[in-house]
Amino acid sequence: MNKPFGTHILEIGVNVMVPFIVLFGCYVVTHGHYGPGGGFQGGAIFAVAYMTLRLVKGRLSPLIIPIPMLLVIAGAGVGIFYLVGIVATFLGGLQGQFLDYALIFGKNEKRALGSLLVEVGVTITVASVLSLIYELLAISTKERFAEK
Amino acid sequence: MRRTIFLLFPVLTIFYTLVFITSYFPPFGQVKSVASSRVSTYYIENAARETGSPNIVTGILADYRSFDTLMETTVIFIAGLGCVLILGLKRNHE
Repeated sequence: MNKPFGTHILEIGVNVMVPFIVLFGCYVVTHGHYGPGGGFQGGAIFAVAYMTLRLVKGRLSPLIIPIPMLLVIAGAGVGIFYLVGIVATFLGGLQGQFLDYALIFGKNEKRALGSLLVEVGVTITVASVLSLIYELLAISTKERFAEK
Repeated sequence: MRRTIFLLFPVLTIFYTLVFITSYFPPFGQVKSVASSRVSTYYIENAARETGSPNIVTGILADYRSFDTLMETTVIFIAGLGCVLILGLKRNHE
């Protein structure tokens, strides 16, 4: 999985496809309020973009994130979610409730912004965990069984 | 061989119990069943107004049930950590 793979046709095809996959991922995440979609699905689509590049171009892929960095990003996604909850608790004063978006953004229409923020956190976590699993599987057996 | 037969017994017992329990489920799509009589009517009537999102699924998933989604995200993060612990460590050859 680390060697460059395929011909010019594949490489150019990937170059054409990946921007559209990323765009579609953004659409699925932000449009999750109006149609089918949301954080989990959008995260999976972002991970697909990462993996396609990595599969076809191997080590020459323009975007390679090291494994510890991917773990940090996944933690940051969960952190956004917890942060929204904690900020709502403190902004509400005596009526503060964990994850009550109305206390941060306002009622009715504006309340949906809270769930959008939360879904962005979910997206970051799902995308980075799926890429993380790919990177773990891409460690070559030589590296894995290296002598101490 | 004897061990397989011995293990087959509890498996079949549990399978039969689970299938037997399904005969007590309410019929699919029944209006008066417990699941579709209390909280779901409330959600259908109030979700769009209270959560502000026109998509009722997002309203329930990310607003009414946000604790559930929070813990799901945490579980996915922990699953990633587990994968790192299993696959990411360099092993010795002995």
